[in-house]
Amino acid sequence: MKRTLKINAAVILAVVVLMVLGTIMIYSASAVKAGRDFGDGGFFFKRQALFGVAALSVMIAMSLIPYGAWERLAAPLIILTIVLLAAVLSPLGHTSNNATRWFRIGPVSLQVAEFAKLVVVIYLARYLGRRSEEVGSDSRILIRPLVLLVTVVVLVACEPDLGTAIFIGLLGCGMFFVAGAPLRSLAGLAIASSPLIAFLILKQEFRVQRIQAFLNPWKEYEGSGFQLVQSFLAFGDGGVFGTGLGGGKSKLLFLPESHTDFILAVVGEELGFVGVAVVIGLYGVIVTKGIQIARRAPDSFGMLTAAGVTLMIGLQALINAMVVLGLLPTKGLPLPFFSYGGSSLLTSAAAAGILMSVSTRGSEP
Amino acid sequence: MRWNSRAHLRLRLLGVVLPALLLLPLGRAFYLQVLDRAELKELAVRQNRMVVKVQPRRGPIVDRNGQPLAISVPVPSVYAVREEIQEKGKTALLLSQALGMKKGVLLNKLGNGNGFVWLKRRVAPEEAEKVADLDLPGVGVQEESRRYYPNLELAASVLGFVGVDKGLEGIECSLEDQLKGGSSTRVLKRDAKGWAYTPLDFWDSSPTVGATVQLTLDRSIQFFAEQALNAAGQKLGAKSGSAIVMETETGRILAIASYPPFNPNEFSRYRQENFRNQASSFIFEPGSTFKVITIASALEEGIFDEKDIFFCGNGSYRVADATINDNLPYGWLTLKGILQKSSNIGATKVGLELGRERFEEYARRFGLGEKTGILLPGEGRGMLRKASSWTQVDTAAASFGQGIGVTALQMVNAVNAIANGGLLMRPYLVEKIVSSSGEIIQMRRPQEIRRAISPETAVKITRMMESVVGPEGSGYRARVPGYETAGKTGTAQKFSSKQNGYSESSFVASFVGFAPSRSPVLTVLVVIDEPKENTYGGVVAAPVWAEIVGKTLNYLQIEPGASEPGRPDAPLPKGTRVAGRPDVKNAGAPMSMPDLKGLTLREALGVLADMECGVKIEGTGVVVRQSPEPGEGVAPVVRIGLMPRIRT
Repeated sequence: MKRTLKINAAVILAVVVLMVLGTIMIYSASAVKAGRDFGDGGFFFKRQALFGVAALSVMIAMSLIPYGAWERLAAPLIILTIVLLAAVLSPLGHTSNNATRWFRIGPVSLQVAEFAKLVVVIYLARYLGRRSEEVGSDSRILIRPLVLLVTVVVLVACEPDLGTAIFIGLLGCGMFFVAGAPLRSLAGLAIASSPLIAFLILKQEFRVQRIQAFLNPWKEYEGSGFQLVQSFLAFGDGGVFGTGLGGGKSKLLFLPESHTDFILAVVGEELGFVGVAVVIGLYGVIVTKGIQIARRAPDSFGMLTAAGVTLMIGLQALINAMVVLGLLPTKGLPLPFFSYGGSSLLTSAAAAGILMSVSTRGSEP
Repeated sequence: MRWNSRAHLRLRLLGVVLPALLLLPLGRAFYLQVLDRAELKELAVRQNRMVVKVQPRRGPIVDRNGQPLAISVPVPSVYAVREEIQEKGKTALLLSQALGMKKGVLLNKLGNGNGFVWLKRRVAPEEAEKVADLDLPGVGVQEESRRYYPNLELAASVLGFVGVDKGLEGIECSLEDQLKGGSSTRVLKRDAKGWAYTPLDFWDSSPTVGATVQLTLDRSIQFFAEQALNAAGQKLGAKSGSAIVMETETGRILAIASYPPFNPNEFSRYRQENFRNQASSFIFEPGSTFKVITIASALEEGIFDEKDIFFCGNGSYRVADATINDNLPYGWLTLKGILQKSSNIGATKVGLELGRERFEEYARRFGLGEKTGILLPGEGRGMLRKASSWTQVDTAAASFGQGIGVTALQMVNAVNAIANGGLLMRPYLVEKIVSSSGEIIQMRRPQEIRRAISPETAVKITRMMESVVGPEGSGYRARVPGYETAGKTGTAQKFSSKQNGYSESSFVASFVGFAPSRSPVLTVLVVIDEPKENTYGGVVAAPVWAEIVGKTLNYLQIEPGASEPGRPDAPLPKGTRVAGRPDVKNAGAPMSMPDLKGLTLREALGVLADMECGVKIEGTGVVVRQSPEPGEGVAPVVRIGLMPRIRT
């Protein structure tokens, strides 16, 4: 019990620090842009702070709800998600930046694909958890979850949000892996999906450019490599200790998406390598503790859910950091708990809450 | 529990791999932020800054005494950063009222494109204040500089003027790079889209001031020259004119006047022709002033002596198929008489004897047919054809300055060589250029081009030129009371392409000379193009010359009587500049120490050479102290202390 409290405390601390720090960095990164576009430098900050309060409530609620409840809701949830993802693509969806990803409810717009990540985790945890015996031997039982997974991925890819779509696919595969699916089937899956991904990338000019920019950002400095180069320059400007909070220049509209996907670059500039190390370290804490919780889970569903949400948070943080630092091609993935965006924040908080719920009911394996 | 064990194995694997993977971005951040930082930081600094074309404060132009000739005064300009404008229509309306501009024009400026744009440059202070009071987002006032010429027309044709962003004429144009202040234009932080975020205070706070250009011009002498030339130009209805005052010993240009004048503060109200510096760009046939060169060349070659006499044909002389005429019929004239009376026939005989090859050679030795390299845009080269193409008539005409073309600058410089004992100097206009931080970028020293004639020839021709200004000479109106001067008149017919020959009504009248003739300080040329009422150089240009020279000598405190004829060895009053010849004060008492103060080292050594004493020298320049003192007995070793000459 004491052990459980310790683990929970570490996760909560990491999440809260990331959220608070993220909100502060959002203010620093977006004040100029917000002041110009909305006449209020605190526009993004205030919204994120409100979402933060909501997210904390959700996290607490989720940690109190026995996670077993989600096992029963898994099937309706995945169906609802698929319906909503389809609805987003209908005229009901809200379009911004040439992508239709949101539902608008009053002043708030919700990004269904964010919630889809969590729902996919829950659904797969239930399906694979119930077939824990056969997963390792009979690859055919993977077909049904695969069909649903592909449905979600394709719908998200149609928004278009290829980054999230690939991420959801990756997340699903991660869960198959944890559940003990044969490595042969996973390898086959990877081989089968790669031509499709290649096709989707090559179909869109900007995706090709992103790949080129990733391979040689300095060459494409004035064009597609611009964002990445700005990110590098921001990190370089920060040095070990950074320019101090608010002292960065890149966010002065130099660095596109500085308050969302590229917020880590602002951390790098203003808080330096030390700040970056702290942020990455906090994700390390969440990942380590998350895997511990999974291993201590009392049942298969709990284990797979815990492993899934841990993977969801950790993998997303990893990919985001690698993108911002030029180790992966640009993807539209937010930094969990940190980047601006209510949907992402609520989803991550719910995931953390569920993780806590599993932890509280778990014991030493 | 086959499943459980495999799942747990994989979980454990994930628990190691996932945190380990996080080390990848961490290591990458370490590389970018710690190892590769310097290079990145430099790149970041470079690209965060955008150079906006804001005119930096231009360096001043001053005269040789540091008096301002061109200065830059701050004036406000109104700009906008277009993304920051909130209501374009309202902003344009308010600004149109404040600035007295059409709303449509403003809307156009605000509407096109992104980023920074000037709305109205160099506005009145009240307008700037109104704009500042409006406090419109995205609209600001920036102090720029405006060029101002405090002396109005004075030296305008030398200074030129500045257009919207750069010098267009004169020194302003030729020294644009130095005056504008290098490439260190103002910078502002820029963002990815190439426009400025920083609102009203984004200007680099430290202004970049251009270098100070110090000219050799003396504002007062320039004033004398312009005053005299402008008055004459107006009175005579001249087409154009110029006057140059040159410091004999050094080739420094002390004044260049150009007629007609213009006010560079309002240059747009004048026509293009007014901007021409007549002295360096107007090419004319010099006429009789050129006889000085002809005769000096013949003397140098030893063909004739001052005492040789020539028969001047009683006013008419045939060369090949042409007839040379004199204004008055002369019979026999000495070489000196030819110059004094300005006989074309006499000059022709000298020139023909000299021959076309030697004639051309001497003309070139005197610097004709080549640019002087003065720092004024559009300097003329003049016209001096190859001698091999000259006919006998060409040579004859050239002897009295027809058929060749010179600029006033070339002509004054050629005569200056005579004044300077035969040494042709490189004329110059820019004394030094000093950066805004006080560092001397460029410093000009007097420069000899070549020896044109020997000192002996120079003295001989000077004596002849003195007679021109004498009571019997053609240039007696150039007499300056109290001073002995040397000069030559010139009245050249202008070639008219319309008539395909020389005009009977268009002349260029000129007078060139130097003063005081025994120890010249100034060489001055006055050129008047197409005077309407009278055409003779001796009548039209000589009085202007006398006025300029008289005022300048007085201003420079060259005391009258210093070298009056007949008293060449009189003691020189204090403050007199002694050029070339050692003159000794208190020379009457050889066994007591003479006063050496004010002499150059060479002059002082010349004096001391007769005294059989040793000399100990400290410093350079002119003598400022001596031991023993003047009047005391001569010591076996005389000590003299020198200091660099301080210009009065």
